[in-house]
Amino acid sequence: MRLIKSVTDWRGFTIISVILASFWFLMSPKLEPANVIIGIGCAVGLTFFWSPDLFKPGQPMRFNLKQLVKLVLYLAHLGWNVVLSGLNVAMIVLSPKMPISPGFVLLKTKLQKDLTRVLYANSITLTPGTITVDLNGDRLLVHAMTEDAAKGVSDWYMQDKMRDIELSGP
Amino acid sequence: MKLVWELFVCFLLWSGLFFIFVGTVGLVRLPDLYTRMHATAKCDTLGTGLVLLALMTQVGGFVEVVKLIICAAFVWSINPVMTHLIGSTAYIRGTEYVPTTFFRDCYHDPYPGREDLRREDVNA
Repeated sequence: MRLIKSVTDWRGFTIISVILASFWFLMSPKLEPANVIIGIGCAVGLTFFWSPDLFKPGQPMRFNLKQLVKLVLYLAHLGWNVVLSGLNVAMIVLSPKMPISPGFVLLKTKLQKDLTRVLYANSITLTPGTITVDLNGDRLLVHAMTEDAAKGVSDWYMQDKMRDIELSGP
Repeated sequence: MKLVWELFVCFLLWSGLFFIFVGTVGLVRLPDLYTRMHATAKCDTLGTGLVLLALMTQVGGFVEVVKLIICAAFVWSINPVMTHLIGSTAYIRGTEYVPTTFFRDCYHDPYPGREDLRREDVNA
């Protein structure tokens, strides 16, 4: 009974268990009783095992459809930025002189929630010329390949998009 | 029409291979660990994504395409996380960088430096 009470966010628990179980059923070759029991058991067990890390008190897992649509648009933008960054690195690496001027930039993010901060830090890694080295609270340490990239990273337009996703939530 | 489609798939596959090649070249050519991570993180992500996209057009069947999409999603989410882990560990341990490296702080002055970060985390 004490173990069951230790899960604080039942809605988030259900969502993550359903995602894990559906992934299992996608991968399993056929629906046999053993497969079904193992899949559902593993999904619930794993979610329960990691629940202290997944569900922090005071940060319930809440999202609505508008946020999901905006997140998909954000990911499409991110895909385009990944193409740009690949071309950028290819140009730097394949040019004979290698025009790099590396450096570290410490910047502060406007985002408030942990999940959006992590997503934004990972998007910085996949953008032209910058990777996130450290994330501590609202401070991001970014390594930039060129000086122009270092200047552009502090007010990158994707941060406003991410903030918009965060604000349109419940 | 079929020829154009096949040329398009070839283009995707070869550009994916090109980006993976560029990532490897960058790993050899660039001067220090942090700049090398730029090459591996970005080029490998893009190259793997393009190769998987080319494969998605070739396999028949819905389930296979969904499996490849899941593969791509895993690679695209794990790659920046691992880059971040390697970079964070290297930075806190004090891996040396190119002497011309500059430091810029958008909010504090002077730069808070390495002691300010979570040094105890990596020594555990």
